[in-house]
Amino acid sequence: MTPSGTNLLGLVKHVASVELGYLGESREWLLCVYRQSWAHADKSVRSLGLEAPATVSWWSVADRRTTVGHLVVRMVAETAHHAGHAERVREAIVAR
Amino acid sequence: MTSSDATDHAHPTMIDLLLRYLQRERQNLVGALDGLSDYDVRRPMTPSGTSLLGLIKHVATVELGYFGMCVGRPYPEPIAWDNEPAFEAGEDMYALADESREMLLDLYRKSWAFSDHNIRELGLDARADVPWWPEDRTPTTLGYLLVHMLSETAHHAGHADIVRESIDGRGGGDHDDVGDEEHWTAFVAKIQAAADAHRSD
Repeated sequence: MTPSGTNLLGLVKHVASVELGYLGESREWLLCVYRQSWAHADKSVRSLGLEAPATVSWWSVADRRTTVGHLVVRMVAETAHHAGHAERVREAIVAR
Repeated sequence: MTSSDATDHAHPTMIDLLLRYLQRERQNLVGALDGLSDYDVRRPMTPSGTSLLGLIKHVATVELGYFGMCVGRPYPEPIAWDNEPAFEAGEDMYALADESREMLLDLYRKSWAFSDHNIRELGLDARADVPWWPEDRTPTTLGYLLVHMLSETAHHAGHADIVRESIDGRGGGDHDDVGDEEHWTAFVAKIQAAADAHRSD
């Protein structure tokens, strides 16, 4: 729906893969993966707590050792940002 | 940079993290206007009238409210559109013809310093009252408002990305790092082909 190819399921897929490291096929499957990632992430965050250590292998060596709290804050920003994309893409589809 | 930055970076407090990510999203939002004409930042780009400068005006107003009036420290300068009749006319959502781009961007940058100062001085547990929220959600805490504002700013920065892309084709912040025009054309064609398998018309 945009020159860089943003589409609604792509946003869901991207966010889901950030949370769980998956890639997938059908609409049902992708939405299911995303919903499962909510439950998995919420359970992990609640059982570990915000201060627990976390490692992000694809971040720079200097930054990769971090905390669960840092990743929660980051996911709030990333999810809200993509939800903003999705809202405007949806508006462009429905207006056609 | 100060000598304590390395330590702060290794063990940032929750307030540091929230302010760091809020600042990143503020910059994303402001960056969406870079290099565009005054007309392009003002014109409505979606059926609901979203404009880039309107997003700046709206987010600045919300931020000054949450981290000013709601925490007992109202912003000292008058804001012409911060009243019920103006809200009802939607005047916090777009730049009026006599409101300059510089004035609105300047107000937004002032709100960053004003908000960050109040947040650091009062702390995340400080009481906050949001008169326009339902009674069961207020009073709340400054920390709650900070998470809310991070999410709201990021959401509007996402809007701004798409609006910007629809004005001149410029993608998000990492667009050029990911690939050149040839890469993007091929990538979009691949997405279109995958979507074509699901056409119902």
